[in-house]
Amino acid sequence: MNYSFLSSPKVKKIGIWGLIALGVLPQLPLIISWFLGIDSNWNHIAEHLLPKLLINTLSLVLLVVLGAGLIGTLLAYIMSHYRFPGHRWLNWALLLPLAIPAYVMAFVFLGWLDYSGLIQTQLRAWGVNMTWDARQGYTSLVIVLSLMFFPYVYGVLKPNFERTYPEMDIQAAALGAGPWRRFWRIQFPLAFPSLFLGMMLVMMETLADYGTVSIFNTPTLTTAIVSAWQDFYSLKLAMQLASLILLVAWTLFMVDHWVKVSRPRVLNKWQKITPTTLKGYQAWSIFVLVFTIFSISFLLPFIQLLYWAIISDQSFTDSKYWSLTINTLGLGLGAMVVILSVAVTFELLKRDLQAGRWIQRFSQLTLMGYALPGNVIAIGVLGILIGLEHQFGLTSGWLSQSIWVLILVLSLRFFILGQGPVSNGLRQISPQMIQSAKSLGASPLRLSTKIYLPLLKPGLIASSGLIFLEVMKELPATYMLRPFDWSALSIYTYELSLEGNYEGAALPALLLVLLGILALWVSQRRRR
Amino acid sequence: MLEIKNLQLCHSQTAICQNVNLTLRKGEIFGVVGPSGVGKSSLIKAIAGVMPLKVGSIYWQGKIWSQEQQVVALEKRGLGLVLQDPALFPHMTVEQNMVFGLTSLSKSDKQKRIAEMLAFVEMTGFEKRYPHELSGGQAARIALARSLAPQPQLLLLDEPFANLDKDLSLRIIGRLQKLFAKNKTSVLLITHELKEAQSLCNRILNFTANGLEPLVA
Amino acid sequence: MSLKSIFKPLGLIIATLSLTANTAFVQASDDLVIYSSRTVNLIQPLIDGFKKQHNINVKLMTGKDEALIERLKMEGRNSPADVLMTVDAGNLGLAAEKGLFQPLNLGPTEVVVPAHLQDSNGLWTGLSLRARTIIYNPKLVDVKSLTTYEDLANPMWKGKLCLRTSKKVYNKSLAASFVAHFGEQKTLEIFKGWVSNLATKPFAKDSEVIKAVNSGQCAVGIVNTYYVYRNQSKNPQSVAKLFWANQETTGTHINISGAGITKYANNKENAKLFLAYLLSNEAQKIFADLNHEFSIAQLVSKTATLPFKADNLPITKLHTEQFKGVKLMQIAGYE
Repeated sequence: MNYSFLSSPKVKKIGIWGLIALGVLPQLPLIISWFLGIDSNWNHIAEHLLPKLLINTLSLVLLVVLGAGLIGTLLAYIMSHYRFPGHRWLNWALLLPLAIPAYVMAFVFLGWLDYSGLIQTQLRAWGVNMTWDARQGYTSLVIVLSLMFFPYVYGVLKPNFERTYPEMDIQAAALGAGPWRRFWRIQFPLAFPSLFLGMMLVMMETLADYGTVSIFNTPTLTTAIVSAWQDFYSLKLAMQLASLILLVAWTLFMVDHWVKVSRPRVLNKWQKITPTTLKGYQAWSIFVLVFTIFSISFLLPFIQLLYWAIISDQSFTDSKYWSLTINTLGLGLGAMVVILSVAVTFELLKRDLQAGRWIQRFSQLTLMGYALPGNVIAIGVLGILIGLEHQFGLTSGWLSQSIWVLILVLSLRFFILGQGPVSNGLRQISPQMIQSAKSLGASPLRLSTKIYLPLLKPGLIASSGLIFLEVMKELPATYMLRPFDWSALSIYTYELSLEGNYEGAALPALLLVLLGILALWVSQRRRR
Repeated sequence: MLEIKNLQLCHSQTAICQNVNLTLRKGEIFGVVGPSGVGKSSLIKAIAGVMPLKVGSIYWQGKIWSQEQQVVALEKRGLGLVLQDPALFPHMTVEQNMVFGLTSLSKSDKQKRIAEMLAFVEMTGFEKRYPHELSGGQAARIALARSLAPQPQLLLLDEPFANLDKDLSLRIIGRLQKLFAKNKTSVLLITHELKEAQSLCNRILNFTANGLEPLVA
Repeated sequence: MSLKSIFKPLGLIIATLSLTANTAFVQASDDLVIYSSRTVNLIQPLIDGFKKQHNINVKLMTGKDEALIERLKMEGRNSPADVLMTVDAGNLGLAAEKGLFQPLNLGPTEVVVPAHLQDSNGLWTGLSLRARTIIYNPKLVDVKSLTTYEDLANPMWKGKLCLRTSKKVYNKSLAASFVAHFGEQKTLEIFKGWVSNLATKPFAKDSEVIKAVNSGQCAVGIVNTYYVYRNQSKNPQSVAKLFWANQETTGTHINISGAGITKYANNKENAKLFLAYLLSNEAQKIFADLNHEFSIAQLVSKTATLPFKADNLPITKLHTEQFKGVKLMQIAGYE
């Protein structure tokens, strides 16, 4: 087949706008919903529900970002500046909480902390009556979400803390700045874009979270979207509520853009810092601190799941777990292939066309899916595809009821995880490098295998792990869009936990966590 | 007055140590020349207190600055420092870079000082630029201006003119002479250009394997 | 540029994946396609029984009620679904209202569904019963003090009541039945009373309400009975006991699981066979055994009767009044 037509700039331009259009697809129904008139229930919602929803949502987002930000920053600082026993494995084990789906974490935590939970029951048996209600207020919810999400901050911030620019620090000191001022005016602002990126991920995860808040029965915008649909049978209302989330996400991206603009460009003079090796009680107390966080956020929940899985009526040997695992892996693989190949194509096109402001702006919009709950994207895309089927007289389900729709929706939701690393990787490949390779007679194939691929590889591997992880954990979209007789670990976990059968749900959840660990291990392999 | 007594500077690779003794009085401008790699930059780092020393001591105005196990923090020394790397703060504009050391001045004084110093290095109009928008030579001039702005009594300069063209360096050196004379600044200039040293300094020392020696012309 | 070399392998991957994936959707035309909001483990034994009797292949898609209904609506004429099975009369009523069903015309069935448990236009039918009633902790409550759902709004229960979230459809239907029986004003007062009596904020699941009553966090709660039976068979030492509410008045609230044949069903005859099977004595027994639900057979038979007096409100009211009920719960601050 002849691909030479692909080289024409016109085709490329159409291609890039086509991809952008595809990327903003899930947002269209949200915007269109406002043109269908204000839903008649808005008055009721605004009077009785909205204030509480907004307060809950904003408080949670702020508190969780604070909690996850603090834990993540503290750990990133400790792990980059100090060496102590156990440092080597904790270094990446601290990312493991990402392998536990948030809703699983929530029922594990309630299983411990609630009035009827392990701890309070035991305390009452000893005659200690606690009056603390774990589900009341924000405390335990914020703790759970912060423990779930701190690895985002930790992961992006640690590489920043691992490097230093001694001359700059010396200069600042010579100009009279003490350690405190040097940290706040120099080190912190320089690490801030990364910190902000981590915090933005946390904020978007918190906004999109449905599982955890519904287990705590704390109404937020995301749960309101679902109940607008369930209680008022109004998809329009659900979409209009969802557009509030979109608004928050847009704002976040604008702030991020602004942070990035003021970000210091190319600093090639970073040096790796020399970490301090701790000894004696200092080493042990730091180890205990880090290990405690690791235990609460991963080890203990993991052990709990293991225990439940063992006492439950579910069994590994059941053949359905094979197919569930295979389906889960296949889904992850599919989304990974789509996201990464689209991301590479997209970024190459952008670069080839020396994309102007409009393309840059609009391509930011394609990343917004990350902040939207999966069901919002799912229903939007489903509507569009079914419309297409009707339009073209296709057999129903040909488009809308196939694994491809699910993969498409998941790719739209998690596109940001591929786009970021790919665009970072491409930035290291200068156009001059390509020019000189071409002048040496390198064929396109050689160019990709010898230059693009090796330089992009670390980023691609890291992001494929993350994509896998997120896709496997995703529930609402997967549940809504899966084809007939098709299930995955996340769905099975959910269905078993639906009626409170947490012991039963533990086994598929455990398999999910194990696959997640594998994905994390793959994504971190090169860095260790 | 800066006094360096018995300071031992050792090379980690060659294990050769130099013994340094130096007295720099108020208003004196010393040049230090010598082949590269001999440890001139280490001398400056030792005086700035960012390199621990094992043997010897450094005094300023009769007070101890550095000796073994005892170091006054760099930010408390009130000296000016220009390193080979301009090390401008990349997230701040030129103006913000320059104001960083001017904490004790009023707002209008700050503005005045910045304008003065930018004119001094012929960089007026660059206030709002970010470091990544400057060339190497421009960054070096801003780094010099930033260190001069707080009017330190002791100034340590490590190859400040390396990236500048000849005419410009000469003009700046001319202004520096006047400024140092007016403020009675003590200056230690490290350079590999003998001519630079000759045009600016009262005295020139040669840094060799034996330590600091008066330059025999 | 190197786009070409990306497209070639990509095209290949997509082509092979498409081939393997599409085989999964090739659908024999006489397969019976069921959309169900009951989870697989609760419906599979019924499907197996049906298959054994009729040798008809069944394809099942489970999902949430609102998603399945929306999907059916979007798919319209092209929908592959033949049968929609859901729990709760509200969902069935909604599907009927949106024109997703066609008249059943089942003809005579082994178990005859009473008129108040099916759609007045014959678009859907109830298949099994679920009762929602009071649960109490005998250590904390004298059973004599229990009477009705409404009475739990009485200040004497302050700090003693546990509820499940108002978002759950079971509670929405219960609310609808209140509106039908007592009118909106009284219903709002009941909910306000409930909210002020709460021992803790509403739980996400019935099973948590049962746990809370067991552990003494609260003295009374309202749950679906099969959760209690299930819990008792799992934890024989649990103390929580069922109380049949409103026996002297309206009867204990019941809801149904039910089904209808979709408007554009490709296999109408097989769909009828399936529903008729579900109303056979055999299937009714599976319903009752599988999930500790009550069968319609139990309600109508003269020998094996229900252990309580059931509310005989026309079940369609659970749909028509549900919206009012939901709003009242929200106004009362019942989360």
